[in-house]
Amino acid sequence: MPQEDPRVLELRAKREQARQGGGEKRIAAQHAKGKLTARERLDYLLDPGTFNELEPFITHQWNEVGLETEKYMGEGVVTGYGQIDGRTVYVYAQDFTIHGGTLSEMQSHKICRVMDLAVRNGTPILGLIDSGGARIQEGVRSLGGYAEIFRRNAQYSGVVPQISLMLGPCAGGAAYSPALTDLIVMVREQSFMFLTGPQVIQTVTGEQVDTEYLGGAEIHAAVSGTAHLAVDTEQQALDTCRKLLSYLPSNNVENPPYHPPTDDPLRMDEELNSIVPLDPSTPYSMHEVITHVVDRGTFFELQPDFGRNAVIGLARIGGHSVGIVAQEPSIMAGVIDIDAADKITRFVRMCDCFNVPLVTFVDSPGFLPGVDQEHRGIIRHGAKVLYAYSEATVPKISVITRKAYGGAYVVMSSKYLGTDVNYAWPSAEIAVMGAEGAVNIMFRKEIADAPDPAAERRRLAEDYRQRFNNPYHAANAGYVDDVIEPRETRAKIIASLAALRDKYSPAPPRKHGNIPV
Amino acid sequence: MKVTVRIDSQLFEVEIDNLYTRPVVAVVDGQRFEVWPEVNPIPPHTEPAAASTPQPAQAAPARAAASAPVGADSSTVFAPLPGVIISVAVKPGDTVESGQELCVLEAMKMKNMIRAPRAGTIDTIQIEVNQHVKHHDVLMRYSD
Repeated sequence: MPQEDPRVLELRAKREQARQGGGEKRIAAQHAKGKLTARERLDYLLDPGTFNELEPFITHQWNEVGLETEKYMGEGVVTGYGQIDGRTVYVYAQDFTIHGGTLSEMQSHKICRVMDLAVRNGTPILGLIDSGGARIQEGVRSLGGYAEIFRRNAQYSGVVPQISLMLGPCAGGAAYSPALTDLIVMVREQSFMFLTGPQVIQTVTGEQVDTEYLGGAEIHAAVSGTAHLAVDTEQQALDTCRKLLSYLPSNNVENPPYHPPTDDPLRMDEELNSIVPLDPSTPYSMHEVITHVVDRGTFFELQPDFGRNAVIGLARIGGHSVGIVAQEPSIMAGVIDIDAADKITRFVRMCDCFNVPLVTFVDSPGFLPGVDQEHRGIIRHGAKVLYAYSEATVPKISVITRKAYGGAYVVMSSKYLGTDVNYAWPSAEIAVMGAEGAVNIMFRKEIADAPDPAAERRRLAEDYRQRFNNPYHAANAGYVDDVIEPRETRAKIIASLAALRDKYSPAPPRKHGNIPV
Repeated sequence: MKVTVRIDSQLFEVEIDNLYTRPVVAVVDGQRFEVWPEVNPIPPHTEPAAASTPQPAQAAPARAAASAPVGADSSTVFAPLPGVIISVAVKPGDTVESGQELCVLEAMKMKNMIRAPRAGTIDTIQIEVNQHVKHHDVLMRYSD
């Protein structure tokens, strides 16, 4: 047998060295924290054997005397491409074993390289984040490296799906990259995101706080609204990423993947006919409505713990992806407040970017009244919901299940915001305001002059209810397209989506709009 | 594992591959369901609790009305909306389970059931029937 070419042997040795990242000790330290290494994560995430690495030999180019850091091949990030369910994705996974995954000029080059390739080839970009932040030794080069990534995050937004999987720290300015992406999944008690850490906060404001309370998964999933999902393990985060992609197209000119439904498209759901209680002030579960209407088991709720009076999520109906937006009347009566408006707006725009039709279930008594909400700008936040629905050109279907009052009626995918098909259930109530409030304004004088003002008010309110606490007033005037039995909802939505599949609704040319934020 | 689920009088054979992965994949009559239970997976060495019923997949139970953000003082129950208290279901000293009804707040044309954000013992009740409350007013406090 001829001797192996020493040049090939050298390549093999170098490859093996690159695979070792920061070395055995650091890999053992990563494992000791219950964390996988960057390469193990990619192996788990991608279809077996599909990962192809790019630029594994890159090292930093920083040779300042006295500040040199050790050189490791890979520069703290593993980049490349692979497949998920047979569809190509570009990925980068920060490698905590090399300089704590800190971002250097060359690490930024590697990340930007796969981002550029992803956009050129119309595939999603997945970022597996586990980094100590900027590499301090590199100074402004490291900061410039972040800027290069952020600019791409912004410019590629709406071109290909960008998903961030938070598997470790992400502190300081680094947190802006995930924030610019479409979806963020965080691992509880393992990942955190914040701009200024506990030490700085203590120095500046004297507040004592730990990383988990400051910027852990629970906080971002329930309080700040930064994360879309919080999961317990990194395997769950990677599984979640695969699941999310199953609802999304690879880019903005493709349609989302079709999954032949196992659920009958014509299924009449009798339970839906009795889901809305006869007493209009008794709550019911909108989650239940949604799970009954969509293909069984396909509703994938996003931000389930943030702004819970609103519901958003991906689902399939008749095998096609849809974005579900709704109010939850059993939480805060389904009012729209600032958090709910933020949550709905961002989701509507994401669906519109990626050709995911919108199905909106409306049951909202209105916007949350209060000085606090007004002073914090509920006008501009509510305006964004209007903006997002008006701007969206994907097929839009709405179903008013019960309350659609005042501004909440208007913003929630109402007909003249450009919604394609508007349905109402027989339980729908569509009015400017509730009966008591309305008659107090409209008939103030009549009530005051009546011999028994309270009785007169009751009589007028009852009359008002007769007129508005039904869908027919709106249907007579053409503001709803049809009043349907709840059990028909699934079949009606499937038929409407089929009729809207080739919807073409070009917008006038402009640089971009100016959405209130 | 195989479990038998009884819905009304009908029995369903449910085959569950692994209870500890997400989603839980259940097969009923050859039909495959993916279930994303809200509870966290139980460690494999403990006796698994009753398997999630597959039909309808994922009908989420009504959850407690949001009263205070996570991380806020967990010994206090706040008013999630401005409105009027129409009933109070507990009294000081009562032990409550998480999700148990505490009171009903009529607000925004809805009888909003205020549920216990966690298990514990009720210390003081700051409200009475027919009282108007503002957004974020304290409704009751836990003693623990």
